[in-house]
Amino acid sequence: MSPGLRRLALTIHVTFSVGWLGAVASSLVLCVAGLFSENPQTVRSAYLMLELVARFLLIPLGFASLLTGLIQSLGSKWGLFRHYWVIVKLLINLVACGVLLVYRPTFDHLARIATDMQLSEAQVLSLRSSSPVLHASAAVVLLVMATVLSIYKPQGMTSYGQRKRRYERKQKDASVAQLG
Amino acid sequence: MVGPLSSTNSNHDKTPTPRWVKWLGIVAVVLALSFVVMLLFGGSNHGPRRHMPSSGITEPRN
Repeated sequence: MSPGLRRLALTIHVTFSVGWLGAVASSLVLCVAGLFSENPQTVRSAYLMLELVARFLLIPLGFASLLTGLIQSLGSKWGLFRHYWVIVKLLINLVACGVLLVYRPTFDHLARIATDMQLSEAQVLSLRSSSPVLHASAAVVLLVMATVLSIYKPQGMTSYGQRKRRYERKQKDASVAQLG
Repeated sequence: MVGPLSSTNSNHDKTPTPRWVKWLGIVAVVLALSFVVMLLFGGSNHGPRRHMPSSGITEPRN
C-alpha cells in the first residue's frame, strides 16, 4: 500500500472505530435511562431509541471498524498477526460484533414491547432491565481498551512476527551485501 | 519443510510473551469459563426473554 493510501485507510478505520465508541456510549445512556426512569414514557422512548441506535449505528459501525481494521492492518508495517496489541484489538472487535449480533433479538424484543400501547404503566415500568446496561458498560470498557492499545501499542511480537522480522532483515542484509 | 518463515533454527533469539498478554489471557479465560458455567447452571435459555423481568408481558398483538 502506498503511504497516502495507508493514511487514508487508517483515517477511515479510526473514524469508524471512534464513531462506534460514541454510539456505544450513547446506547449506554439510553440503557441507563430505561433502567432508572420512573416515567413510563421515558422507558418506552429509551428502548425504542436503543433499537434504532443498535440497528443503524452499533452493528454497521462495528462491522465497518472490523473490515477497515483488517484492510489497513494488512497494508501497514504492523501487520495483522505480528504484534500482540493488533491481535488483541482484533479479538475485541470480533467478540463485540458477535455479542451485538446475538443481542440484536433483545433490542428488537424490548422495542416491540415498548410500542405496545395496551400495556399499563406498571407493566411498562416492569420492562426495566439491567441487562442492556451491563452489556453496554462492558462494550464501553472493551472499546476504550482497544483505543488505548491503538495509541500506546505495547511491546510484544508474536513468534510469527519475530520470524518475519528475521527473514526481512536477512533479505535486507543480503541485498546490501550484493550492492557492496 | 524448511522455508524462510519456518521455525527451525530460529528459537535462539525469541523474545518471551509479554506479561500484559499473559494477564489478559488469564482474565479472558476466567471470563469465558464464568460465562460457560453461567450457561450450564443458570438455565439453557439465553434468548431475549432471559434478560426480561418476569412481568407476564406477552408479545404485542399486531
